[in-house]
Amino acid sequence: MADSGTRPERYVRMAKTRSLSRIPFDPREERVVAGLARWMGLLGRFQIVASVFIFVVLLAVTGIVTTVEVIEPATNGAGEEPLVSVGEVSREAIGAVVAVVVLFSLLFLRGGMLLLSASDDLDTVVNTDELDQHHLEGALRRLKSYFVLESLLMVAISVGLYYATAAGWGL
Amino acid sequence: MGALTVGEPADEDNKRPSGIPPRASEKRRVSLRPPGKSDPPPERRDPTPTHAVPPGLGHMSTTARQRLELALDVDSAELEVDDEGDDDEVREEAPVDQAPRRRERTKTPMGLKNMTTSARHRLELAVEHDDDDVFDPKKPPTLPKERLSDVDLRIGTIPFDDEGQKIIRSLAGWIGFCGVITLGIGALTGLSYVTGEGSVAHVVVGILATAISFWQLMAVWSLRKVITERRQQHHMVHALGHIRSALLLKALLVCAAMVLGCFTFSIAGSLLFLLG
Repeated sequence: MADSGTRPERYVRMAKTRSLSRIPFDPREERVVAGLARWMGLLGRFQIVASVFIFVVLLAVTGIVTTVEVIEPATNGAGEEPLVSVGEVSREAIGAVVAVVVLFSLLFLRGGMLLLSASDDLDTVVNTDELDQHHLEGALRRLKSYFVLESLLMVAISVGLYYATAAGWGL
Repeated sequence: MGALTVGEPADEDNKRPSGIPPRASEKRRVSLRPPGKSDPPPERRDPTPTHAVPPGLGHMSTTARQRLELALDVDSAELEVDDEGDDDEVREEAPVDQAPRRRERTKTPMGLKNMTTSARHRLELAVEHDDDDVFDPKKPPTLPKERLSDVDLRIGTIPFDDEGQKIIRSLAGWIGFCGVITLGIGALTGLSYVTGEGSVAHVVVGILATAISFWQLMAVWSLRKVITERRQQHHMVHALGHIRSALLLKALLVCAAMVLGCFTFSIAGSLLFLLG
């Protein structure tokens, strides 16, 4: 076989081939990795469904409130109480809450998609004998992105809990 | 080397390559005729094996031992075919010289190439222990330290490059950060019950959050070992196992939250519909 390429190129190719090699998992380790892929995929699907659910609920609540606000002045009598009373909460506060919820659901959706991709990579590691290390590194990279988003969510939840506790909302 | 050498002097009990004497299997045959009333009740079989278990193989499972016997049978058949083609005079003149050659061939039996790495590892342990001809059931066979280092280098190393190590280090950092925050949230939520403001639900959420953070921190510990120690595969599998446990619990929590959310919104929608 003809030896193509210069010596450093051959070394680089050998190093790449070595770094993209097969990882000899035994059956027990394969079960662990397959279990991780399965639960990761399940959690990713749950997160996608939950974010879509939050979107749908938000749309439903917005639609109901808007409809009530439009219909209420036409049907409301002189001395009757309004059906939905927002109270002292301003529209800006409601808009901020809606924006936070939308942002939260988008992050949740992105996290679910990352988990699904990482799950596919780990499935490839388990079910094939080629480029195991490459797929494992891809799965770890996506898992890292997921935990970055998770950390942002946790920080946001911590700040929200702190302000809710400080405001005395009974949480 | 006991039962694993093929070319030893012929003995009536050691004719089979697996080392299990044929008489032992004859004794184990059970009559298919149903026992009559006058027959005494059948004696319970003695759990101790009737044949001599080769030293070093006592801790192997039945399946592994059968595979080993099959592999040795294949190998001995290969050797017999080779011996039939040799000159008889040469065989008679130099019977002693053939024994080392057979042992040399036995070191790489053809029937063992399809074994898994762990099975071959266990076979190597058993063969090595047979050299000592001493078997203590309380002390399973172990490899000497010099061979153990070779096995570790051959089996447990994943050659991560700089980018891979960077990914693992970053992943460990983010998982640790997330775990610490989860631990703080869980502790505060659980402690709110102690201060009198929380309910039992707060305690449950606090315990679950603490469990998730515990597994995440264990995964960080294993990922750090992947970078710093040699047995990357072992520590990587441990880390993935801890992450799996954390994600499993989180999936259950998300599922429970979705069910509770659906239930709450269905109740709220029903009340609005009834009031409207």
